[in-house]
Amino acid sequence: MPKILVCEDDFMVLKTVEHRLKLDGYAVIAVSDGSKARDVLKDPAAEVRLIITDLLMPYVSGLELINTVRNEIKLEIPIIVLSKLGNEDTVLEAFNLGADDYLTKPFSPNELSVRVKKLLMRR
Amino acid sequence: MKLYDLKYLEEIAGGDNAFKEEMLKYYIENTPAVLQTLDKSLNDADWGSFRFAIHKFTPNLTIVGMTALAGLANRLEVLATSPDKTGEIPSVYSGFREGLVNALSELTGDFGYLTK
Repeated sequence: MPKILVCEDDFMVLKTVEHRLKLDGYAVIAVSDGSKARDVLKDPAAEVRLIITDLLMPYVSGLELINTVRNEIKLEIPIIVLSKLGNEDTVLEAFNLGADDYLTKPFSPNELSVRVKKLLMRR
Repeated sequence: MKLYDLKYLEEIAGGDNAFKEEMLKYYIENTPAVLQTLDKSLNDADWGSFRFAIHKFTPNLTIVGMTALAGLANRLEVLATSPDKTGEIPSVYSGFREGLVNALSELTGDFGYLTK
């Protein structure tokens, strides 16, 4: 069962993403800020296969998290960015830092399932 | 016609009623604090805080099917991002606030038992 890390500071969005992924059969680690996500990713035992992260978060932003994953911890696992419509510049920055895909909030449940499956198959 | 629509939440829940109720309980209990934050930011003309609070809250409006209010919230976020348009915020926010209070009141009437 692939393990997915979800990082989102809004409780309702975090829980909806987590719930949908669990219904799809994935193991989920749900955290509410980027610093907690960073701690999880630095633990090799966590064996995270995919990351879904919000961009605008306190303490450590999604962009900082992506930068850490790609340039500090040097993980190649796929990253999906969660963003509200209208944040195109930040989404582009996320892609430049190494994000693989993005979803707008609130997400379409079926779209989430398809994008996650596709990225997990690709790697 | 209801001021909210739980179709999206029910789709996400996938038949898990406990999950649906957890989300509704959270929304009912936490929305008043969001309103307080927005009110204070507006009174202080603190547009950075206002923008952050409305940005974070908008997806929750869609989750509970308050889509017209989500549209107004998006507009408020755009206005709060543009220094030359912040003067429009009070009137737009007034309509948003009234609509949210009414919708929350209706939702609480139907699901407030979850918070007891």
